[in-house]
Amino acid sequence: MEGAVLVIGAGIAGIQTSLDLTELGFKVYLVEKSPSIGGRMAQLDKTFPTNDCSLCILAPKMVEVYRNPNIELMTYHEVKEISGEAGNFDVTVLKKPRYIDEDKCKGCGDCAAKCPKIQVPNLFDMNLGKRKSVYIPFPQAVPPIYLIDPELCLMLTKGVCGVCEKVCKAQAINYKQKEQEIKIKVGAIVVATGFDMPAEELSSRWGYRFQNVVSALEYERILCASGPFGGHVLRLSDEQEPEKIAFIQCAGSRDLHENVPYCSSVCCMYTAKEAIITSEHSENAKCYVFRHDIRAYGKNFYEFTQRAQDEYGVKYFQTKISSIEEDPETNDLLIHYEDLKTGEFNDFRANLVVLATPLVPRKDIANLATVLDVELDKYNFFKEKSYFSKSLSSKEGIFLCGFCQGPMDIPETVADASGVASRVATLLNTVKFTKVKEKEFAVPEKVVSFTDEPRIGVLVCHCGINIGKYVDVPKVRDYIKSLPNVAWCEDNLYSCSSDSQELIKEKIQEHNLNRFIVASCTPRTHEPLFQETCQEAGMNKYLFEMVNIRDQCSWVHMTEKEAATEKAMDLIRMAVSKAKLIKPQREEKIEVIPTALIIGGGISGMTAALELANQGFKAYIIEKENKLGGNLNNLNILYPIQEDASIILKDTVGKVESNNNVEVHLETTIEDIKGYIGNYEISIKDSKDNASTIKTGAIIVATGGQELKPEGLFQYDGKNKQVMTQLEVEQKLQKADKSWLENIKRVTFVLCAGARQKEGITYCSNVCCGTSIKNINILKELNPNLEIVVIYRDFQMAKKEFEEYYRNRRKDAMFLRYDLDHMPKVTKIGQSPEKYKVEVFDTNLQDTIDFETDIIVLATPMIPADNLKDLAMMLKVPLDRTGFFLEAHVKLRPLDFATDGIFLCGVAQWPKNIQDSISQASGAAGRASRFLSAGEITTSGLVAEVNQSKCIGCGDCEVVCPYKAIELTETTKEFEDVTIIVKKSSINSALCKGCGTCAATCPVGAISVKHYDFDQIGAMIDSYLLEKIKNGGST
Amino acid sequence: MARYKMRQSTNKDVDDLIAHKGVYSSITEIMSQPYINPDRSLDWVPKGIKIAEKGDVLYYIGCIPYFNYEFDNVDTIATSTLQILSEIEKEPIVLFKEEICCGHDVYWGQGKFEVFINLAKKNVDMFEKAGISTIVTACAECYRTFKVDYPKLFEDFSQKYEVKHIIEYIYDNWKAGKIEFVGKNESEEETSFTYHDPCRLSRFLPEDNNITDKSREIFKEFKKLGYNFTEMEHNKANSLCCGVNSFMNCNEKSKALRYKRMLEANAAGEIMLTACPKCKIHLSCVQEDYADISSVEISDFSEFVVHHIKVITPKKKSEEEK
Repeated sequence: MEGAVLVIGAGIAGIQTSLDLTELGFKVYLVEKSPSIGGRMAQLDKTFPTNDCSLCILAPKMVEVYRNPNIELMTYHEVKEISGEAGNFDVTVLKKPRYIDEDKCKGCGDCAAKCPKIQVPNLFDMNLGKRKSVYIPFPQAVPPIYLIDPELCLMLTKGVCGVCEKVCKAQAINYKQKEQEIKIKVGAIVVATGFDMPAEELSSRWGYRFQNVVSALEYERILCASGPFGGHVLRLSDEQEPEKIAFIQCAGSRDLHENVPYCSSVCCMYTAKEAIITSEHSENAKCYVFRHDIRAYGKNFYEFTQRAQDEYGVKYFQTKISSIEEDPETNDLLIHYEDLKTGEFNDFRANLVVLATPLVPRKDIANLATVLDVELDKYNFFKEKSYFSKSLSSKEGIFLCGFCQGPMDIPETVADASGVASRVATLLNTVKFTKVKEKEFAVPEKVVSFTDEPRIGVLVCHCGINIGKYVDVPKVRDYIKSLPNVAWCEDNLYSCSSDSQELIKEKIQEHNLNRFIVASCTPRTHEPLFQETCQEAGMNKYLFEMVNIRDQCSWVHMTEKEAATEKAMDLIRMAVSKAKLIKPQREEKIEVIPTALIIGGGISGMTAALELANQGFKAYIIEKENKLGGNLNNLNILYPIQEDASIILKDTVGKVESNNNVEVHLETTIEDIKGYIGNYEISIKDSKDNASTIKTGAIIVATGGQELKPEGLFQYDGKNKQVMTQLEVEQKLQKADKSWLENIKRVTFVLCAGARQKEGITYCSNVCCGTSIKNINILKELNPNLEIVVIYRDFQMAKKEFEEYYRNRRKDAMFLRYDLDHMPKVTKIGQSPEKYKVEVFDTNLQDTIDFETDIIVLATPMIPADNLKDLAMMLKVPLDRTGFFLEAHVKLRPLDFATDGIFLCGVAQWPKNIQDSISQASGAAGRASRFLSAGEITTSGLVAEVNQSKCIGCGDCEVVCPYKAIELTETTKEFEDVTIIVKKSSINSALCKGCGTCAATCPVGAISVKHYDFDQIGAMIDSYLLEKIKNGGST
Repeated sequence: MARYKMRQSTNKDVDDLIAHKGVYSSITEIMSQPYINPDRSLDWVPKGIKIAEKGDVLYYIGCIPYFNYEFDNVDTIATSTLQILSEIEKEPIVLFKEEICCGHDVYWGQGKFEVFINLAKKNVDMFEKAGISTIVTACAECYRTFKVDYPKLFEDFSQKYEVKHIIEYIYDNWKAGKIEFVGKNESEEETSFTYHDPCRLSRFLPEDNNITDKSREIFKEFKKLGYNFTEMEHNKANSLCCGVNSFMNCNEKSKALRYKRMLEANAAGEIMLTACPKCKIHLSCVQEDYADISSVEISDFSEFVVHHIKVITPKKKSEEEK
């Protein structure tokens, strides 16, 4: 067995799985065929639903990969040959020539600046932007190494020129570089090749051939500040700002004629995002969305699409597009469409059209499948081993991750990536940590004493135009240069790029700096990166300071350049004052108990427990019911595989029960949780009130969810036997006795019953549409004469198999579409037998239809499990607005909590189907096992400290601590003639996050936060005010 | 002055000893600036009580409006005092909306003499503009500052202004026959009460000042209302300290001292009166930590007396004389 893994594709899926794999103890060969890692996510402007800058949250991960000593980055490489079997693969990788020596290139760009070859379209900008023949795909590319395009380069094609060789001071140009074959040995292979968006393959009616029709990915580049138009929304024909922008959804997807029968699953959301960002970028632009269904089923997704309409004035039309034509005079587009709300055919004139074209497997996927000897499915995605094991390919030892297996969004991909890492760790469990090396800092840490004169280095970032356009960066730089103790100060385009890291290290050495400040974006995403850079240069990472002049200056003062510039100078000057006082800090190591507690014994909890157990860690399952399985116990047939739910249930329960590493506690409740990452102590109580404690190093929350009982809605009151919820009908179908179906002529399904409302439950709960489609089919099979009516709003069938599943069953029922303005009415018209009248305004027919029905099935949303508030309090983790658990970051940390050591999976996080629950559960187990595998964790040096002699034991700090890191200890103290019990505050540095709330609250100033003490903060405030007074400003 | 000397003579960081990160003394320092005019809210003034900007009698409130950001049950000292004054005086009581600090804490605690002088000048200016002749305060620290420290700075201060603590004010009016003590104790049994002498009203006053005796004379009068006054073991000039003054940090020694004081109070009575807002705050605070002393009800003199005074109307007086 080899303790190394080959990861093919370095988009977000490949990046995340690689990072997780190294933490699990494996060496990773990350092969990427393009010159940089980052994949599609690097091309996106912002991400929904938080509108975070995509590259800003991705770049730190990219750099983390670049710095990781256990990831061998093989960009511009391709996998050529694979042989062997799980545990022992021999891989041949082809290294394509960059014509630039990777070891010598510093990424300075002098070659590209002097390259005489006319500019050609840049693939990274979806061919909208331009590059030279020697180029780097984008400024933040990792690795920051240039390459020469052999088809364009005059030297390589005609043997003339050679300018780049002359200008390269590093002597990195090598026109003679050849392809090279590299042989590696790995134990497992992860395929993460992502997707393409080939708009050019659409049929002509979508009008992509016209200049002002762009694909959504092209539009992302247009929106992006570092894109071809510098973030200005311009159309291609005349580079003018379009006033009317039409977004066409499902442009070619869910369409048998276009050969893309499935839904790409992310377009509804990115369209809403693009429309919102457009509205923010240009005042004059008006956005129109031509939609089909709205598929917005993730956390805060549906609400996001509503906000686009309500807050940003984006207009949505429910339409069917006939064709898109160009007006040759104006290059405007004429969209011929059928308005599904009125049934009328209309024309719409737009200045720019954005097509949500289908996302399809990579063009060369078939070749790769041959090399790997794995199967593809009928859509040309990689075929999963079985529906519920979507991360396993048809061949053992080869795993699938992300979009190459089927459509999914970024958080699903990230969860999937962590799950794959866990699966790999299970396979290669015996060879963990055999091929990895510790991150070592070559330069030993330099001792900085408080008596040393501060020598501060400052780097001011333009962030492309993100800061540079709104803040006069050169002016700021010159001002900061003049401050006392500033030994070096420069500005640059992207401080986060890899070449900047080299620059920082170089300058620290060159100028003997003992403090460093970067003034750029938010420390939340970028501080660790710069800290590590400082460490690499032998500077304690706590001697680094960061100033956020993007959010604080350029973003909030977009229209006032002078004020933004002044504020940037103030903020950096304040940081300089603080930097003089900062001290080096130490971090401690804490041992981790190699066991995990899993709360909830449903499919998610059981999967997580098995993953951990198979990696050799003891897992405890705490289940409140008297049997394992959770909601799965109540299900009949599972879609789309049409398999009896009891099969997977029995199989999984059997595995859990027979695994010696899993300990199951049924009918058990959690009474108390003490401790912190690595060392939890959980008090539990069983049905007989026997109390015991379990010690674990990690906790996984898998509490699942439940179906909403819609009391009072559509005649549902518990007494009306023939008005039932989806789960109730499911339970009836589960039983052999089907007599309740006798004499039933018509069944009516009401979808979104109590979901996606304006008030109350505003979200879409993801699984109800699929369940309804499944059940109408089962009912129809039981009684072919049964009439079924489905009243729906939009159909959420976003997985690759679902669209077809839905299409094949559409004939089983009559479908009526309603909207929130015209809610269906149900009245009871017969008691025995029960009979109901349904009145619904069908938006497709634009008419009210009423009919009688015998049974009403309400598809109600999933809601969180009961009593989560108490559990959340014990775990000290937050719930979101809807009552589900709130993850650390909705995009890139879907399985983590902000509190280290506690992880999240399944419906506890958000309503989801079984396949995704299983994938997430593996992921959560993978995330947890990173700590369990390592056996120890390092605490932050940035924690609060109590000065015991000053502490008066008032307990105010204990009350305000959000992480419950503070406890009061009691000691008896004797004084001359009186003895009293004295309380003292004590802070657990493993739990403390250094937020400083306690320090601000302490009345006697006994608490200070390292790196943020009162002297340091005071110095910042003084620096601000003194300068203002000096300049005669009023305070 | 101890801190002033400490600041001058040693390297010890005095600011480190100031409580609440010096927020109260920072407020004081800001107020000492010539261009700063605090706009204090007078919303706490009970409805129906008339106040004025100019007049004869000033109620100098002190830091109470700032304390109430941090401590409960301090506002009632101000409302009770104002109530007493309004009932007795015919003219509206003068309250300064722009009242600043008397300077006690910066003088005693933080040792910032210049700040103190600036505050004193601003205060005297305000007194002059308002045309007052009597300053009444319910704060022991303000009292000592005006009574003893201001005359050292301004030669004619004592001639121009009569400074009275609310205890003296009540005592004088009672002796002048303007008020009587009424309101019998509702419980059948006699309630025992004791009195904690604030240092600023006892050992920190010149020897000829007899507030300690005046207070006892008043307390004896309460016997007929069903309240029995008992002395604590340490009393008058020999009182135990409330633990800390001038908004300096407390510590475990101070806590032990307060605990000891409360044991004495517990032995002496059900109610403990005091006449300094800070004494009330500090002694109430230690009650939260120790159950055995928590039953003693700590009340300010003004809060207690406000329920027990009655103005003797001239008409009634003449009837009695007949």
